[in-house]
Amino acid sequence: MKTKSFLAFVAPSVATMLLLIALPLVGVAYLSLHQSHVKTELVELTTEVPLIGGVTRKQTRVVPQSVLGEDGKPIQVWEFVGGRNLEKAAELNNLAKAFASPRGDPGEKTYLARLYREVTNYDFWSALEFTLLYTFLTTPAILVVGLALALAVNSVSKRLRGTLVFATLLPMIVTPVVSSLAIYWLFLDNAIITNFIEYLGLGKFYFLADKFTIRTLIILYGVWFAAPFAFIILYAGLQTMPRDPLESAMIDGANKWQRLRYVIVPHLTPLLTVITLIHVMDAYRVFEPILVFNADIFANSVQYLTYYTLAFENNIHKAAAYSILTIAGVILILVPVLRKSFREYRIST
Amino acid sequence: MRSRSSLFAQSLTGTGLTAWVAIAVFPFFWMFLISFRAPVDAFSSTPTFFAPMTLENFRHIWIEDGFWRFGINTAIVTLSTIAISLTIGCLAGYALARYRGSLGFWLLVGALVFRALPHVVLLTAYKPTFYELGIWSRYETLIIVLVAINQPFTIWMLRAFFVSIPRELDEAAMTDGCSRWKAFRLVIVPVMWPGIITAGLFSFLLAYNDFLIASQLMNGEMTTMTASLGNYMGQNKSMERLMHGIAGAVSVTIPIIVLIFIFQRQIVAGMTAGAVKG
Amino acid sequence: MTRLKLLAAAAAIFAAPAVASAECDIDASGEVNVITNFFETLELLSNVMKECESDELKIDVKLTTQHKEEREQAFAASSSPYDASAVANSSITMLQAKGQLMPLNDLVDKYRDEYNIEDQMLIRFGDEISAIAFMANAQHFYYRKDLFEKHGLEVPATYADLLEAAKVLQADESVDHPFGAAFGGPGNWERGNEFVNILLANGGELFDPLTSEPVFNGPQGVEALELMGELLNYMSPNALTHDFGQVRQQLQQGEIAMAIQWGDQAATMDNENESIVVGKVGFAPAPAMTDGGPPATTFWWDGYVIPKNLDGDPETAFQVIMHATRSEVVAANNDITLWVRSNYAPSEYSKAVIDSVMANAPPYPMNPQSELAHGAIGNNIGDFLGGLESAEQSLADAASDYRSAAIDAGLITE
Repeated sequence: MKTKSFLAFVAPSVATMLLLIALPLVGVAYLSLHQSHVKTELVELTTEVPLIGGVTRKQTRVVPQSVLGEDGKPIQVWEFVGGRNLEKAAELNNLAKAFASPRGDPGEKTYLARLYREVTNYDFWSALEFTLLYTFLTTPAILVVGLALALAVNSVSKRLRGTLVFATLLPMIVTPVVSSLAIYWLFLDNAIITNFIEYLGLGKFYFLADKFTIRTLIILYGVWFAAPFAFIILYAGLQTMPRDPLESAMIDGANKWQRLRYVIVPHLTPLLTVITLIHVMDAYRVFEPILVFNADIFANSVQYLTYYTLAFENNIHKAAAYSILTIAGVILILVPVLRKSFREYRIST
Repeated sequence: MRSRSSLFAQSLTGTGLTAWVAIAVFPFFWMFLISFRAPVDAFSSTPTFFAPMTLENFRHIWIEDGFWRFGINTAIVTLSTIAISLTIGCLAGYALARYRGSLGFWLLVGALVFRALPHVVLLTAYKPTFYELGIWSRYETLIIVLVAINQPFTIWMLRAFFVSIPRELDEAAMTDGCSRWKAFRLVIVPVMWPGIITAGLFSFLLAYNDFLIASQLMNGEMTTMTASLGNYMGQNKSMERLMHGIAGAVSVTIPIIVLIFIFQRQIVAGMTAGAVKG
Repeated sequence: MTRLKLLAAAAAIFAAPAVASAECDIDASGEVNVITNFFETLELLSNVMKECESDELKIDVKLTTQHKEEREQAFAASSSPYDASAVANSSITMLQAKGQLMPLNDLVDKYRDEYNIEDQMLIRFGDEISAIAFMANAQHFYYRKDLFEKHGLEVPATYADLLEAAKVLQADESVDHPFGAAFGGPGNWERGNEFVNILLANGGELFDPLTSEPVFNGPQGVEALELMGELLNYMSPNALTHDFGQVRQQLQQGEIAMAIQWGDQAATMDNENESIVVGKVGFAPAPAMTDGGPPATTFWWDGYVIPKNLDGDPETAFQVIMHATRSEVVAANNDITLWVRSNYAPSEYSKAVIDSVMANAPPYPMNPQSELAHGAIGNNIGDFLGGLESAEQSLADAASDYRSAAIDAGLITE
C-alpha cells in the first residue's frame, strides 16, 4: 500500500485520536508544568449560618477572600513551576529524607525494613506498591487459571461447552463498578460468605479489617474479573491447535503433563504474550475495586490516587502530574513487549 | 492403569469447572436474588436464600424514576458509537494491515500509549472546552469521545483480522482495475463480517459499560443507563435508593447477557484472530 | 419527536412529588441547569423545580454523586453550563473564597415578599449573601433503648461515659459490637469528619487563622485521635471501611448498640422496610469531651448557590430555587429532613439535633483551609487507626499534606 493511500485510510481514525486524546494529552503535560490559584488575602468577615429552628450563629473571623483585579474580576495566578508538580507527586523530597534516615520504628530493626515501611507510607509510593503487586500477581494467575479453564472446557462434551463459555464470560462483561460491588457485598460484616464461614464453624472472619485480607480480596477479584479474558483467547487458540503434533507426542508415550508442557504451551505462546500485554496495561490502571472496597489505607492504586486528587482535592495540576507518571509507568513496563511486537510487526507485514 | 488416571482427570476437571462456574456466577446470582427484596431482607444480618419477594425496586426505577428515558439515550449513544467506531476503525485497520512502512507500527504503539491515559484526566481537559464551544451534553459529543477512546483497541483488533485475510485477494482485484478503495469495499469488506461483528461487540461493551465519561459529559436528563446507575450505587444516604440501583443493575445486565448468548461464537472467533496475529 | 415528548410528559406525571402543588408561574424562557448531590431531600426539591418547566423554560436537575468535582470545574471555567448548585458548609468555602459565587442580595430584596424569604435561610459572608439554605443537619448519638434499659445504662454525657457503656455492652450477645461510627467512606471524608468533631469539642483548632498553618497536630489532636483508636476497639473490625450508610445499616439490622450518625437519618430507624429495630432506637446529642462541654458534633447546612459564570439567566435560576424551597414544600414534607424555614415542625426525630444546639454545638468551620485540612486528616489518620503508625506520626503526615495542598491553593506562601 502506498503511503498516500495509507494516510487517507487512517485519517479519520487518527483525526479523532489526535483531537480527543493526543491534544488533551499535550494539555495534561502542560498543566503538569504549571500551577494556578485565585489570589486571596485574609479579610475579617462575619459569617452567619443557620443551625435549626430559626437559630443562627454569627462568627467573626479572618478568612481568605479573592483579590479583585482592575477588571473587577478575581486575579487568577498562573505560574510555570517546571518539574515541581511531578516532584511533589512522586514525593521525591520525602524519598530523599527517607533514604538518609528512615523513621525509627520500635518494631523494625534493619535499615531496609524501616526504609520500606516509610517509603510505602507516602501516597504515591504506597499506591505504586499495590499497583505493581496487583499487576504482577494477577498476570501469572490469570494465565494459569485461564489456561486451566480453557483446557477443561475443551475436554468436556460439545453440548456443555456453550453454557460453560457463557458462564465463564460473565465476570468480564458486566460493568466493573457493578461487578466489584457484587463481590464486595459478599464479604461485608454479616454477608452471605462471612456467615457461611461462621456456619462452617470457622469463626467470624472480618475480610475488610486488615491489609492482608483486603489486598487478597482485591487481587482475587482481579483474577476473577480478568481470567475470563485469558480463558476466551486461549480457548480459541486451542481450537486452532493442529492434531498431528499431539498425536505423535502420544505415540511417543508422552503423558498429559509432558504434552501440555512441550506441545500445547509452545503453540499458545503468542497468545500468552498478547494476554500479558493487554492485561498488564489494564491491571496497571486498576481502579474500580479500590473505589468500591473503600480501603485505600490498605490498598491504593495510581489510578485511584489520580481520581482522588481530582475529585476530593480538586488539584488539576497534581492530577496531571500523576497521569504523566502513569503513562511513564505503562511505557516502562511495556518496552520489552513492544520490542518483541515490533519484530513481529516487521515479519507480519 | 490408563483408564483410572483418565477417570481421575475427568473428575478433577468436572469438580474444577463446577467450582469455577459457581464462583463466576454466584455474585451475580446473589445480586439478582436480592434485587427482588426489600432493603431489610436484602442486607439482613443473617442472609438467607428465601425471603419475601417484591417487584417494588423494579417498579420504582423503571416507572417512577423513568429509567427508560436513559435507555433511549443509551441506545442512541451505543449504536452510533458502534457504527462510527467500526467504519473508521475498518479503514484504519485495513490500511495498517496492508502498509509496510514503520509509520504503521508507531501509530499502533501511539494508540496503545493513548489507552493508558486515565479517563478522569481526559475529562478535565474536555469539559472547559466543551462548555466554551457550547457542545457539552450533546449526543454527538459523547459519541465522538467514546469513538476516540475506543479507537486504539478497535484498530488493534481489526488490523489483526485484516492481516488474516490473504493479501492476494485485494491485489487480484486491483490488478483487475479496481482502485484501492473499491477493492476494499467490494472484495475485503464482504469477507470481514465475522471480524466486524466481533469488534462491534467489544465497542458495544465499552460504550454500554462506560460510566465515568457519560456521567460527566452529559446533563441529568441526557445521561445513559450505566452512568445514572453509578449514582444510585454510589450513594449511602438511602437504602431504598440503593435497592432501586440494584434492580437497575440487574436490568442493565440482562441485555448484555442476551447479546453474549447470541454472539458467543463470534467472540471466540474474534479473539482468536486478534490474538494470534496481534 | 412529539411522541417522545408525550412519553416524557407521562413520566413527569409519574415522578410528580407529593406536594400540595402550587402552580409555578415563572415567566421566563431558556434553560435552567442545576447540579446537586444525590439524596432524598435534593430529589424532592428537584422534582418541585421541574414544576416550573414550560414550553419556553427547560429545567434539568442533575443529581450526581460526583457533584463536587463537576461543580468546581464548571464554576472555574469561563462559562458554566450549570446555573445553580447545591452546596454545604464545607464545599461552599473554596468557591466563595475564589470569588466564583454570585452575590444574591439584589435578588433576595426583590423577591423577599413573593417567596417569604426568611433571614435564617441566608448564608452571609460579611454583607454578601452567597447561598440560600434549606436544610440543616448534625451528627448525634443513636442508641438501643432496650439494651440500655436491660443493662441499667444511662445516655453517655461524655466519651469517657460512652467507653464505660461500651465495656458493658461488649458482653451482650444480642449485638455484634457495642459501637459504630463512619470511620471509612468515600475519599476518607467521613473519617476526617469524626476527627474534626472530636477535635473541636476537645478545644482544638484546625489551623491558625492568621497564618493558615496547621495546628490540629497539637496535643488536643493527638488526644482526639487516640480516642478514635479506643473507640475502634468496640467497633466492627471492618469499621475502617464503613461509611455512614453502613453504620446505619448495622443499627437497622440490630448489629450494634450505639452509634454516631447524621440527624436526618433518625426516621429510617423506624422504617419497617429497612429496619428490624423499629421503636427501639433512642436519640441524644453526641457525647462531649469534657463534663459540661459542647457535644462533639458540628452543624451543617445545605443550600443553593448561583455561579458568576453561568450561561443562563440568574434571576430565573433564583426563582426556580425559591419555588422549590418555599414554605408550602416544607409544610407538605415536614418529616423528610431538618428544614431551615420557621414553619418546620420539629418531631421526635429532630429533638437530639435541637438539644445539640442548646448544648452549644458549633457550626462546621466555614473557611477553605478547613476543607483542605479535613481532607488531609481523613487521608492520613487511617494509618494510625489501622495500626500502621503512631498518632503523632499520622497527624504530622496530615499536617504536611495539608501544607502542601494549601500552598498549591495559594493560601500559604512558601
